[in-house]
Amino acid sequence: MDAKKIREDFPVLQREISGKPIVYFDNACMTLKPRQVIQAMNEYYENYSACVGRSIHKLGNEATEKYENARKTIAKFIGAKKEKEVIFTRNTTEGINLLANSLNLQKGDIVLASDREHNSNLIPWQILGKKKGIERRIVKSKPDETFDIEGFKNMMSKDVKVVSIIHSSNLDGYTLPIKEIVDIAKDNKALVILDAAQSVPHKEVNVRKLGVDFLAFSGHKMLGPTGTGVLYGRYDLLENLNPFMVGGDTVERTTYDSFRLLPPPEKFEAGLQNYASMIGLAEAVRYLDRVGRENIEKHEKELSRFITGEMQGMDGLKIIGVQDPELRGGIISFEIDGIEYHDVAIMLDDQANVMVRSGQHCVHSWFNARNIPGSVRASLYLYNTKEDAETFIEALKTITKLR
Amino acid sequence: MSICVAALVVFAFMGVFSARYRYWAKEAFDCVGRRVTLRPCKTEFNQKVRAKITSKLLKKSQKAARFTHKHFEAISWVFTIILFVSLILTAGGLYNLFTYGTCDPAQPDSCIFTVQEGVCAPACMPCNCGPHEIGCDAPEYKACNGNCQCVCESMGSVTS
Repeated sequence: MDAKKIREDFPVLQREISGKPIVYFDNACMTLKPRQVIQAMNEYYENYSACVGRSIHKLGNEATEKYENARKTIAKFIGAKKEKEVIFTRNTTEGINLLANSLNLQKGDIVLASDREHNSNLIPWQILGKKKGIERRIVKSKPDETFDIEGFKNMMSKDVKVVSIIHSSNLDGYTLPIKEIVDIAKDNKALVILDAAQSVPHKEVNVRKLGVDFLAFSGHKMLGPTGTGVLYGRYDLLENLNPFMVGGDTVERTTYDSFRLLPPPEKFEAGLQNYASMIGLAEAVRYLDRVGRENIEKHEKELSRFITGEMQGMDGLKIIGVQDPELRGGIISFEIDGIEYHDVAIMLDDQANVMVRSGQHCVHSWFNARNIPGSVRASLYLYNTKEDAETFIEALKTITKLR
Repeated sequence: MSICVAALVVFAFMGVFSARYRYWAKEAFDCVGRRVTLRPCKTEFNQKVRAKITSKLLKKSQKAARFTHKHFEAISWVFTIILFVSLILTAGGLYNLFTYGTCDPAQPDSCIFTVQEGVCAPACMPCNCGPHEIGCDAPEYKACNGNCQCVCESMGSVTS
């Protein structure tokens, strides 16, 4: 994999700010878009910007074909059995909210999660707890911040109806042992919802091999356009779910008193969809397939190892979460004693155009439970190079001198 | 808090000339608005300004950057006080200018910008001064001492 060659496809990376190149290390939040994705979207707007699935004229047919091809491409990308298991959403958050509101959970049902869930996999269940009286259980991490599989096993029971859990954490990049989690959940007949927002873009994820029932991820974290996401669901489960949002395109027929829903995925995609962006997302998937996600994962780990090694020699710098870079993938979250995390982020940007995220990264619960006010997070992707990492380290070395 | 107030004044003025500073002025305004209503500053304006200034200093002098970073609140108070003292003195000066002009009737030669009728006659005629002399048509000599005699001044000596 040639990261330097890949960079040529990204218009943003051709920019210089104040005479210096951009070092984009905020990929866990948003990735940059290659020309191919932008072109695919433009093609929709320039050549066939019509309604999908409704209009039977030539442009409508062309748009429908491209849109449904996008669904096929994405289904193949995650190893879904059929494309009808792919529901287009706006993002991971919408996917999880759709499930929380569509699964018919009752009072006393238990939803199990880890202690490092993103707010999007925490709040929907909290609200459901208040509305319907479902119970939530949180599996606490071990002292080294890895997942406590024994603790998880002990918490499982026949009352646990759903295990809604993160795959790779956005706070430190740690990937949970999902195969073991799924096996334990299945033994107890619990459904498994996987928040794969930080895993699908960076590593091979096959829904059938993992055995998950539902999986949600976002397009904007994998070179795709903003406002795109996917919810995968096993078809037999989707068939029995009631959509929580209905309207145009979700029904086969209606009378003044009744309606008949279309089969999945249509019944979950109410109203006119973001066609151009979904076609763009499929192009992003093709791009990632060409590069190969195993190559991306390897590349990110190499950079992460280098950065972690350099950081270990820096006075006052502490990596938070799981320490082993082999378990963390391409995310490095850290704090510098005596310098606030936002200060570090602003100074990295100001000194060397190094763009990172600072704060609690939408995992407030994890930070607050540990009394950590926040961290600086560097997250890598396929277009980051060793030179980027060196620039980042040099800027960090300068900043640590402020202590 | 202090830096918000100082920054609001400075950036609001600079914003008149450059759109770049209008964004900062807006943030400073929001910050001041929240602070005076006893709410936390949402925009983290203080932090942004502190980090930006420290970062710039870091490129020049680590010691100065470290000092500024550690004592930023105190430094920003000093600058705020200096700013307000300057503003008060400037306001007093402007008041005097509009009220009295620049002429002191007791010392008519102080009338550089303002000509007081009946005291100074501005009609000095040009005179033939030497190459290293300043003639009375130079701006410094626009106001005369009550007569129209031309004065040419060279280094240390005056010739009529």
